[in-house]
Amino acid sequence: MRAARTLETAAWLALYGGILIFLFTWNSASPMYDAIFRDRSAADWFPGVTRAYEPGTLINGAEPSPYFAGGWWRPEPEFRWGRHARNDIVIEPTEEFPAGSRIVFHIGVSRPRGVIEQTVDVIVNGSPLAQVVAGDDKRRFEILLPFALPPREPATISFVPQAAKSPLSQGHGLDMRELGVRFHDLVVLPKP
Amino acid sequence: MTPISQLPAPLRAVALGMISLAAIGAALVIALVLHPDLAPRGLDNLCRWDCGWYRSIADGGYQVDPKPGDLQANYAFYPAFPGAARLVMLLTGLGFAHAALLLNAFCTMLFAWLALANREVLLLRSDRDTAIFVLAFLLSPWSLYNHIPYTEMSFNLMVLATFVAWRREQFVAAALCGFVLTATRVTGIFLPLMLLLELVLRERWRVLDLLRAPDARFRALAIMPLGGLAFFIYLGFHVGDPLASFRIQASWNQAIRNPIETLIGGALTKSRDGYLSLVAFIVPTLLVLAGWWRGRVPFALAMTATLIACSAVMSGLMSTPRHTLSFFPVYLLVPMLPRLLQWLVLACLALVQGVFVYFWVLGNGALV
Repeated sequence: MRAARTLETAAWLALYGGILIFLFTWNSASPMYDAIFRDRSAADWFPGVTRAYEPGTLINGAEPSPYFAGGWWRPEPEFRWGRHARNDIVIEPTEEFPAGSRIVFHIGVSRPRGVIEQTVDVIVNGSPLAQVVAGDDKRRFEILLPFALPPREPATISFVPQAAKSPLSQGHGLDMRELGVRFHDLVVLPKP
Repeated sequence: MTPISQLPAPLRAVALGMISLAAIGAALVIALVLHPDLAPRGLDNLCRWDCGWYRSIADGGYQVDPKPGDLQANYAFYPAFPGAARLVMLLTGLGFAHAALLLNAFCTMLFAWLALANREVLLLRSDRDTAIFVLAFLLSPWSLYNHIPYTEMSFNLMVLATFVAWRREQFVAAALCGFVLTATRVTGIFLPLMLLLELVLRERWRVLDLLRAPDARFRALAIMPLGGLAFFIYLGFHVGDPLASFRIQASWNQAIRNPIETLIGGALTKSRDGYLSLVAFIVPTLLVLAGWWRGRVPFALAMTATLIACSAVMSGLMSTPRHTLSFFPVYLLVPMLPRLLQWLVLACLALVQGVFVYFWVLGNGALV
């Protein structure tokens, strides 16, 4: 009788163990669900849409767009906030951008306590290209590409602010989101 | 005429429930008279904010994928309340808002009856104290959330039912109520955990014996979490991700964060909402802990209330007053007040509740 009751404990442990394994390993979700909620390699839901990028296309932070990859919050009326300290945009140029092409963008940053401005690293395909000084206003920046972006290959443009803090943790309001760069828009222009 | 105090417990429960419903109804009528443009929506005016999510679950079940535009999905919300509302809809033919209001009214009276019939389990010393506790809880401004089509009243009822059944050693009933409780809200797991903690502390010298030869208490505690886990397993097959409920909340920024940083930030915001959220965390938490220390709030309920308050702070300060003050244990302290003060507190609570209902009907975002 006692052995049977001990077996009951073992059965409960096995049941809970099995459930925990299921919870943390089961995945039959759609690729888009995975990209947004598990891997966080995409920010917006665009089934079947590619990241093909025509030169001169404006990427607007206020609108859903397939180019927003990892590290972004939902769009707001005039911009979108970066999520945490690395905010990626991925484009697949339809034609080559030769060295000397320009990336033009408008950004701002959230303001950590006691800081008016902070630097933001701009990194393209892993190469740091520039450090820009951004404030809590909308500022225009333009950087030259020292290398070419080949056609039909993903190119990642990353914004890495010094500090991504939530306004709540800084005593600026009740917004709990860790805010990175405040992204307004970006365009990649070929070398004239 | 028979005074309320001399009625049998079920009738007293109905009377107390009717008093609270009348207070809500009067405030709603005043709001609709002052804003006749809202009158055509009638009771539907009480269905705002998260109510829309519960409606979507009751009407159409859980989504498979989030909406493309805004990535919103209804699987952040647990199934017990919208499922029960769906059942009422099928039985009565009512729409969601009316069915959910009816369900909450029924739960209100059941809650009052359970409290009146089990006052000693709640450490209440007389029928009068119990009636004062029930009235303070139901007339509280934050009990707005117990009356509108939100999950709060089902949650309160299930916490009380699980606790009462456990204390009365009706372990099958405790297991079933605990099962529903964990399928009602994510914080439903706290009571089973605190009952387990209490059991382990009490039986600390023979925990191994308990594991070798589990009894009805062990079995009840093992069954309780299965309600929430069944929901996760359902999401695993329906959405493809058993943890979809947590992931969608993380995408709304309801993920776990450093509570100390949140509290310090809240204190530094210099905003009314920040201060109110801090007060709504600190005051009820200290009160229930003091109530437990003084032997007026049962350990498991005090700790559950504390964990709920802490979880509200760990996911940010948003909605802290709703989480901490729509939960009943803190109101067990009202009968400790001098009699005159009790009536004064009840009057003030009812008055402010009316103001809350008024602004809720107008769609004031501060009450989310």
